[in-house]
Order: sequence, then C-alpha cells, then structure tokens
Amino acid sequence: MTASQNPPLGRTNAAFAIATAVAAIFNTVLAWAKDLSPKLTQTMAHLTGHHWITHCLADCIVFFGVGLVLRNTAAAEKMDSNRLVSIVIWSVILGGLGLFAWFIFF
Amino acid sequence: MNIRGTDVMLLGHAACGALAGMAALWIFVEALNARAENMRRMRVAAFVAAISMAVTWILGGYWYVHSYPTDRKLILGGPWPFAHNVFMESKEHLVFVTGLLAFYLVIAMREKIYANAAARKMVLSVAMLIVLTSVMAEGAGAIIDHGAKIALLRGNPGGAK
Repeated sequence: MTASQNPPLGRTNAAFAIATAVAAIFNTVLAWAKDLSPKLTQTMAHLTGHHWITHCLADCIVFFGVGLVLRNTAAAEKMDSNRLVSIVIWSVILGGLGLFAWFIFF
Repeated sequence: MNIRGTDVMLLGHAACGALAGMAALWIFVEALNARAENMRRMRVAAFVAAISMAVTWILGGYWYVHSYPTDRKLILGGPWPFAHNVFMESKEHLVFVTGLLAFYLVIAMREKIYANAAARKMVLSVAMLIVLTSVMAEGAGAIIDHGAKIALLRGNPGGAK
C-alpha cells in the first residue's frame, strides 16, 4: 500500500496525535530549560507552589491547546496516517532518550 | 502497625501506574484482533488507563512535593546518588508523557479501529508506548526506593539527620 492509499485518521485523532508529539518534545525541552536555569525553576515554583506542578500543567495546556487548535484546521487530518504514527513514536522515543541522556551526561 | 497516609499514597501511586500499564497491554492484545465486538471493552480499558494515570500523577505528585525531599536528602548522601540524579529526574518528567499518551489513547479509541488500519496501527503503537514507559517508570521507582534504602542500611550520618 502506498502512502497515498493509507486510510486517513479522523480529524480529532490526527490533531491530538500531533499534540501528543509536540507535548512530548516540549516536556523534554522544558525539563532541560529548568535544569539550566534556576531562575525559570523558581518562577515556575512561584506560579503553583512547586515547579513540578507547573510543568505538569504546562504539558497539559500544550497537549490540549495544540490538539484543540489543530482540530479546527484540516492540517493534521491531511497528513499521511503512517507518518503520523511515526511522528508519535519517534517524538516519545526522542523525548525519553533526551531526558535520560541529559540527566546522565549533564 | 504504623501505616501513614504518605505510605498509602506512594504505594497507590505505583499500583495505579501498573494498572495503567496493564490496561494499555490489554488494549494492545485486543487491538491485534480488533472487531466490532471488542471495541467497547477496549474503550473501557482506555478510560481505565487514562483515569489510572491521572490518579498516579495526583498521588505521586503529592508525595513528590511533600514527602520526597527527605528521601532525596538521604539518597544524595548515600552510595547511590544517581538514584535521584538520573532516575528520579528522568522519571518525574517521563511520567507526564505516559499520562498524555493515556489521554490520547481515549481519543484514538473513538475511531472504529477494526475498519481503519491506520487508526488500529496508531492504537497499537500508543498502547505499547504506554506499556514501555510505565514499565520504565516502575523500574526507576524501584531504583529510587533502593537508593533510599541502602543509604539507611549502609549508614548515612549526613542524610539521616
């Protein structure tokens, strides 16, 4: 089956697939940023009482925000479904490895 | 017997994480043979995984914020400081992704995956990612726990104070 023959994912499904990938990478980048900048960690701690809680809320806002915005456009829906699957898998693998490698080597 | 609320919270956190992983594994196995008849069961399992992950976040988060600083002090003063520096630091962020994957799985399960090969592939992939990341989190939790345990067993005057 060629890429053009792949059946499409539904609009909401495709939108939240991209949102999951974006949130997974955002999560890792925010963890790196917090580790590099004590000021950022402190600011995040001020917002909710603890930087971890703010981090959790930020990830949820990115996930639901990106998902809901993309759901209102056809952008994600038009993407090849196999590509969407690969994007989700690789974003989670790279995000996870990025976290683990960062805390081992830095 | 002296069981505190924080003990229940910590064990509940690990149990709910394991439950989410098992629900995702259930979905993976059912999705290999997806039919109209097992869609309802898979959707229920997806809700179980998402709710379990939300409860895991809440219990683990409360414990991390209020009780973990004592353990961290012990671990960092003990023979296994990497239990915190590598495993806790990675785990406390990786579990966010496991939770988001579990929330997304509920959305992905809205499709008729027995009739759409791409949607089925997505569900299989996401379910397996939840299984793998939850197993990693459980393993990291065991290492963190052992880091605190051996800090106490092998003597840690600095941390124990």
